[in-house]
Amino acid sequence: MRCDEEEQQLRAAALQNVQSILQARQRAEQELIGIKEALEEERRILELLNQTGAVLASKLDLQAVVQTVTDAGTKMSGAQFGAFFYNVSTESGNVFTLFTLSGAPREAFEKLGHPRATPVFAPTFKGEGTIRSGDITKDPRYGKMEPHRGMPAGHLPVRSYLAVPVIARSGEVMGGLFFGHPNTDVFSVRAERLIEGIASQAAIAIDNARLYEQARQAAEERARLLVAERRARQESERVSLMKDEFLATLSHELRTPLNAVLGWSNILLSKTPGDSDGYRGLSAIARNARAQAKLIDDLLDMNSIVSGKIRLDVHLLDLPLILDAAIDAVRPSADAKSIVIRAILDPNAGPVFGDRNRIQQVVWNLLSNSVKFTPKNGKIDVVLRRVNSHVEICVHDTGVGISTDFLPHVFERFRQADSSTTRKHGGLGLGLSIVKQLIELHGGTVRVESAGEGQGTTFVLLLPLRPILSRASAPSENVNGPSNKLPEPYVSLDGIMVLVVDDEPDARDLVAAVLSQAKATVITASSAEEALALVKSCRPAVIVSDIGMPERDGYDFMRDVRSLPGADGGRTPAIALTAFARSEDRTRAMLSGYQVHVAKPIEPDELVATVKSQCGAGM
Amino acid sequence: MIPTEPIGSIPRPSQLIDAVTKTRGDIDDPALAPLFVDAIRDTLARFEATGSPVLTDGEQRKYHNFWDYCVHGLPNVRADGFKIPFAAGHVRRMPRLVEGPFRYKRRADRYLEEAQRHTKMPIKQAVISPSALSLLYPAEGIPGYSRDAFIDDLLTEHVREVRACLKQGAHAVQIDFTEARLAVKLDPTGTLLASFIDLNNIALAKFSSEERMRIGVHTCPGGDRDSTHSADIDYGALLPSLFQLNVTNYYIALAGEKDRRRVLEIIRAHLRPGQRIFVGVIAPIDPHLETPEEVRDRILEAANYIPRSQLATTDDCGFSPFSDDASTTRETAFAKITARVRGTALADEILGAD
Repeated sequence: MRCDEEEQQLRAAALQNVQSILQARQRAEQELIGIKEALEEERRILELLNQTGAVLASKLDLQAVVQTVTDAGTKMSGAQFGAFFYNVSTESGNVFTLFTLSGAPREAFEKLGHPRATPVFAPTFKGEGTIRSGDITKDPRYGKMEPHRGMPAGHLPVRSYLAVPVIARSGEVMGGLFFGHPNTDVFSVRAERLIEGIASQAAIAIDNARLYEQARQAAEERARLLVAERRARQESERVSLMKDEFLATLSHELRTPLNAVLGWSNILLSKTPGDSDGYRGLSAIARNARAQAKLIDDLLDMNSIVSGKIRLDVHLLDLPLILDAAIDAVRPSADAKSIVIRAILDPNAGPVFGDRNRIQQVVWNLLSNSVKFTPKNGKIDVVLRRVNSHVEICVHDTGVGISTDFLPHVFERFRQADSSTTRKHGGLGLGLSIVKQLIELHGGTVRVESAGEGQGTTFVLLLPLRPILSRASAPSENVNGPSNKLPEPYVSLDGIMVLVVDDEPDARDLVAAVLSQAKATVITASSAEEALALVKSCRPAVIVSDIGMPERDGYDFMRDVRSLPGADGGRTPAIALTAFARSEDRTRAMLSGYQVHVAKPIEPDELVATVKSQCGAGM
Repeated sequence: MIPTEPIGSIPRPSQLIDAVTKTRGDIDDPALAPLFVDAIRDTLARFEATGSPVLTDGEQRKYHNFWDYCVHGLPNVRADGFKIPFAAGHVRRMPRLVEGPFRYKRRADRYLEEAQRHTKMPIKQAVISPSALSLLYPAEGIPGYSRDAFIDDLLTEHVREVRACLKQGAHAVQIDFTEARLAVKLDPTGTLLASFIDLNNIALAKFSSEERMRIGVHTCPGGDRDSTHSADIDYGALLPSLFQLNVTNYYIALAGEKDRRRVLEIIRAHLRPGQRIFVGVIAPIDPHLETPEEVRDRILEAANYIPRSQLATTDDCGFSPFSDDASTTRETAFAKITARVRGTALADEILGAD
């Protein structure tokens, strides 16, 4: 019985717990539901954060970035509406504020001013930290009166308020995220942390979007400049090509009449008594024609040098010989002014490698210059000597000298000390510039010295010494090249049939006259077609042909000749006689089948000698 | 290997029992300290000698028993609570809460920590269930401290204790739910048992599934002085509800049952995947010392009902749940444990690898 009583008491006590346990269970279940809901909310937030992070990491469009941030922030915070006010800089450096909205129509804010001025909003735009308020209307900063009023009239009702500044890594405040809800105590500490996280992400994303925009603009600018530069280059190339073509044409057109003038004046001179007025007149004509030809050569040379098309025919040079030849060339004009040219030439100054013709051209240029600017009875000294590892060529005159101001410009193109229309001395102002370019092409230098006007001038050329080579290994055994041989004083073309081809009657007759004078048998043709027939029918020993002809030019003609069998004259030696005097014209002539290229205007002796040299040189 | 674990208590050395009696239950008396240490060290050493892969400290420090160790000595607890009548005629009186709030005086992780100082072997720690402690609250109530508040505090304390044991590195934490059968005995309608299950499940829900892999419940008829308080209660009224507990491991007394097959049939009918059944193969209150072969045969019998992968072995109950119970000697207890370990190994040889 006693046990039963104990059991009864125990049962009663135990059963009293049942209800409490049941309630505990219900509480636990509620708690579990709460935990599950919190987990679900956490999952949702995480998903939203992931999505937002992915969008922010992938979007480079500023508008898309700020809208994503605003939407995500509004959802995460539980706000009824959210706004993102952000600053935008224009290219001109002006800054203005734009805004995106979430949870409220744009019209709800369109009429309101930007929230910059009020004490509630200002701290956010100044980057002074987060403001979270359970009831912003009770915040002392909210204010009730102008100008410290809280929300502007017409603003959506806000009690719960959350504002987070968006600050770049540089510290720049990019804008602010604002969230509102008409109920109180909506935003939790957790929401505040989440929004601060979003704001950090937003700052980075906006930074990236801005950088991308800058890079995009820079890339566009680069592309635009590239196109402009390409166009400019193409235009420059086109102009350069046009200029080359123009110069070639100009040269051709100028040389063609000169050819006739020079040729005929020479022929007439040989038949005119030397003391007659006619002789002097013809001499003047010939001299001036040569001077004009020189000007044309200078122009072409300058063009070739500037466009990088000049090529040096390099050999071991006999400088005393070259200098003597140059002095001989100017001696007549020096003698005319009673100018004494004195040459002090060290025969052992070399060795120097270079282009004989070009070096001779340089020295002749300097000497011509000196003769030109030295008054009567003056003196010119030409000195060749070795100075250390260089060979020095000095041309010193007692001429007008050069002013100190003009000295630095002496070697510039188209520059002359006196460029007025009343100047005493003519010329294009190219000679010294060509000297400088040619000497530099040889690896040398040129300088000018003058104590001033009336004090004379000294030009100093320095050419690098070449190492002395043994005879067996020297690159060229022929000093100054094959052209060094002086032409025979008189050459006879007796018994040699020469075919002369030129569409210009004057030029054709001139060449025929020159060759005839040397006793050649001359046949002529005015076109390629006619000439080809003569080659086949008459079998001339040598062909002298112009290049610039209508329909089939000299190149076509020579290709036709070379396509003939040897028995029909296909191997007849041929000389191109042309006003196309550029180096590329010469190359082209050789390629089409000519053996020799002679530029107009021609020197009769040179033409005769050339024909002679080709005679019997059948291919 | 078939897992095998003890339940917990081992009879205390007689000198310890005598010394504690002299202090009138003042277990914090410094004079007792070396005796406790000796008892724990000796218990763990003997446990290791049995070959048992998992040890306990024999609950040498639990005073006065497996039920009230955590509240013994609290100022707001009186020793005049309800009485549990045992079949042998003796009665054990439980403590009574007289004032809130309810807090444990000590937690079992202290025992675990001390035991770990004496062995590197895996140690299992038993704790009392919240449902058992719920009986501390008196029927008449406590002014100013509601029953609801007490239940909340109780759950908090229990969860804290289990979590501390897990954190301390317990191989397993066993919740002693011996009052399950008592609940059925007190209330045959099952309401009380369902309420107990609810209460324990509320606590278990606080743990992760990984943590629950190391948590189990123990149910038995409540052994004390070779007697029980509810052996007459049929498992059929208990086990279906017991399997509703949200744990992995079940330590179920079976060796002392009169009709083991019927119990095994009930287990088979309610067993769910992922649960592990530690069947009792040793009856502590039976003076007969089981042989390894007897143990083996009991396991083979259970294997007919429980899948090999869910089968494990244990003792029906602790050998001395009450600290002053000297009805079984320490030697007998370890001999029985040795038989369990060897018998399990024999069965394992026959049943083969998992």
